[in-house]
Amino acid sequence: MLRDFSKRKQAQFGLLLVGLFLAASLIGPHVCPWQPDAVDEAHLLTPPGRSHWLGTDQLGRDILSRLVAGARISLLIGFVVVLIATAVGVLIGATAGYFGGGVDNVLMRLVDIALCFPVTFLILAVIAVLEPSTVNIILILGLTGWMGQARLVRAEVLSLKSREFVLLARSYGASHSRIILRHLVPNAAGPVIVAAIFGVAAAILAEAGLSFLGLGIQPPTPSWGNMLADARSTLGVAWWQSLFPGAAIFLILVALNALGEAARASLRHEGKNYERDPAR
Amino acid sequence: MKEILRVENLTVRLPQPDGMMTVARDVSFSLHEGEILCCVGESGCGKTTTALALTDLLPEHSRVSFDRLVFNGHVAQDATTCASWRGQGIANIFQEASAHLDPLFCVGAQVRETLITTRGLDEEAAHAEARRLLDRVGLKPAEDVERFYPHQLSGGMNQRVLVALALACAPRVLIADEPTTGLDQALRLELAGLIKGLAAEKGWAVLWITHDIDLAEVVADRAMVMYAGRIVEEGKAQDVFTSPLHPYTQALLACRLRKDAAGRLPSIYGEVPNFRALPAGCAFHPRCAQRLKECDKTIPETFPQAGGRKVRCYLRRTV
Amino acid sequence: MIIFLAKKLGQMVPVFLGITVISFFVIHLAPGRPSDALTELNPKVSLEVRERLEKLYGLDKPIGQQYRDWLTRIVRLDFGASFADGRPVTAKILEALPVTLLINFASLVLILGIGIPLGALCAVRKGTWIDKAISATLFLLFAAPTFWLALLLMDWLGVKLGCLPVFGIKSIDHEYLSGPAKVLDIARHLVLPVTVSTIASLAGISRYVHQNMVQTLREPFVLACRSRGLPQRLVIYRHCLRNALLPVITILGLSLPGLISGGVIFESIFAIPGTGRLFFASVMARDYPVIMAMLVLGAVLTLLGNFLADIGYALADPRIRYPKNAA
Repeated sequence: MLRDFSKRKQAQFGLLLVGLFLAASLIGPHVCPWQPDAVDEAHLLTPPGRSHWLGTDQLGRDILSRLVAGARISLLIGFVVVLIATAVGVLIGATAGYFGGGVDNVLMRLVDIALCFPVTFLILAVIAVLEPSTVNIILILGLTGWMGQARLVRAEVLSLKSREFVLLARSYGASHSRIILRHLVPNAAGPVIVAAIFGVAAAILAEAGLSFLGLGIQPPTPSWGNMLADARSTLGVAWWQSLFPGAAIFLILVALNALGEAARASLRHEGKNYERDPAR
Repeated sequence: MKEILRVENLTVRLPQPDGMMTVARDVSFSLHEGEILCCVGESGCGKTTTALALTDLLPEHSRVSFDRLVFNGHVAQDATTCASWRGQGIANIFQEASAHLDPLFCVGAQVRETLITTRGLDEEAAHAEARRLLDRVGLKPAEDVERFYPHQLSGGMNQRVLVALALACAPRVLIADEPTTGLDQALRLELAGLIKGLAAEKGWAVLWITHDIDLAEVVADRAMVMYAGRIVEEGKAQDVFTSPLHPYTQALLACRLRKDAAGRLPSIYGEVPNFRALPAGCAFHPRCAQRLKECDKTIPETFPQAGGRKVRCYLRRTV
Repeated sequence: MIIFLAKKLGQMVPVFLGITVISFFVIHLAPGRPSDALTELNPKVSLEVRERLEKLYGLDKPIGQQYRDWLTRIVRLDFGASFADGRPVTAKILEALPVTLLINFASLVLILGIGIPLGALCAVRKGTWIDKAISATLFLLFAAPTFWLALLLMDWLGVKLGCLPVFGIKSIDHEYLSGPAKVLDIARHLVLPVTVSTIASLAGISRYVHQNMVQTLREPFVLACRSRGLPQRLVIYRHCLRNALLPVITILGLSLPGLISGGVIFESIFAIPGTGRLFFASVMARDYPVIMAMLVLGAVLTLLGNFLADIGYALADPRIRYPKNAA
């Protein structure tokens, strides 16, 4: 499956872009001439030019360096959130699927309840109640995003549960947790990974939205979201302020979506008969 | 009996992920009014593909070529001509009837739809005719049955609906692709009887595809045997089934569930070849106990025999 | 089928209770006491006043009791009074509802009207340049963050070209306009929000329909229909589309809650006085009664939406409507 994946143009494109962003976020801050919060009073709200490649905002801060700093935060949040969400989701889903019965019922009711809430409302309500900080944001986003994974894993576990290798493991006395972790979960890995890739995209978008509203990463720490918020007041006057941060979000999302699509397609081809059997 | 469909050297290639694959080669046969021609062979030998090719029902990007294809006097120029024959002279019935009916429409509506679209009947006439057809295929009382949805009917009943749909097209040729496979034994014979009876009554020319030789023996007037995409033997059913000439046919007939002298179930040595890696020469030769020197060199042509029979085998070479 | 629906309704009850529990306790996660919201900024408020306030809002009772009181009130749709201005919460929500409903409904119509045909078109013309072009465009639109698109469109169409208004739903001189002009005024203000809202969800629906159509086209009954000589248009529109769109009913049901919960970011950008902005303002002002009310309403509507989707599906799919029976 990996070979099929790596051959796809979508995957290569996605990996390339994500790689670029990662590289930028890691080495960028060391390479950029300006500090993210450095104020260049001589160049307030200037369009892209020689000294500021992507222009400056109304406080004279270099947009490029802020973008790069923002990349670091956004990518970090994206990955950690998905890590949490996947861990929680896999745990709950696997437990529900494996033990079945009452446990399954209760856990799935929980999932149903959690899924009922309009996600934005819930996140906002909780963020308002606890003050916005990076840790809080990561926790909230992670704890509101596990439901999808839980359902996926549960479905896979349910179908794998009665297969021979599970019975074999039980017969030589393997404990439940061992069976779940060593045998069932790895087999369900495929769809979980696909969902995780899309999850990173969703998390990055959510963080951007929160920051945009002022309930995410707080200024002066740059985040693509709050950079866009700054751009609201200069609408019509400084196109570079709204274009670049948004484009950054857009590009990383495109890259992640492409990766996710490629992964999903590779997964589908794994056991599939391509065309209908010709002489049925 | 009048010849109504003639196929000469039909070759079909299907798109596969790793390129085109030839599934049927140089297939030639003809159908006559009032005659049932059974096409027998193991699964995957190309029977269905051949049948679908006659009315251009193959998947997109398939390649069909033929020397001659004539239906009811019309010579086909290319695949599009064949497409125009759908429902206008040539009707199809399929295996797994339930899957071949739209689950969202009741069976009466589906029959009416065909009557209105292909036969041009108006609503009222279609209602009456649909009921009559359902009744004719044994779905009584028609007024009740026509309101049922496919999932509410059994497999056998759905197959009768397919027959009714074929009737609705008022065809001259019926292509029946394993219509009784998957049904219970008793139902199988009933359905076979229904189709055979209708064919005789309407004078249909029938191409009946099956891998069940016992069934073929009962319904066929003529029979042709397919192996690895080629017709290897053809002739009157009685001749083919009682005194087969091609080694494959002989082996196939011997394979029917009867133990041999030593009490073992017979089987044909070897495996059905992969279409991509066909043996050189005659495709059957690796499994043939009677093979000659030339069998692995060139593909045998079809040699005509006595009594209108044809065999594609060097053993029966006519000088 | 009645049994099927009754079972579903039965399953909804514990979920509803769960919703209320979460909504209630989310608020109590806050450090400090809820009454702090009212009294925090006023240092002159004495302890006595504070205690009176707490009694008024029942905040001195044990938490379990508070929850039960609140629950009995909300099932009667009494959500109490807003902390911000003392007006009944229900009134505030009802005030903000129409605008959000209007925008969401309009975009839903557009989404379905454009998305479904697009998806079907791509499926039927699979592999052609039309399919590739449309799919690529939709993919890009899907990935673009809505608030970015909104800003860009506002910048370009609204400010630079000045052809469409960007803020609010009425012009300043709205009151002085004639009847039809008023309608036009509101309509013009809605163009950008509806457009952005539509673009956001278009790709999703289109792709869903596309997938379903492609799958349906492979079904055996489609081959059987074609074999009878039914014209291609009939096969596609009458048979394929109907089968492929069945799951879309689920989507419709699920979009019910989306109808009333306005996009918070979205309404904030366009300064639309809808439910999204109400929620945001309440969150900023720690106006707990409103927050709780909207959480519960949103969740309950999702629940209802699921239920309606189930009903809709059962009605539309004869395989569920009529149980299997041997005729």
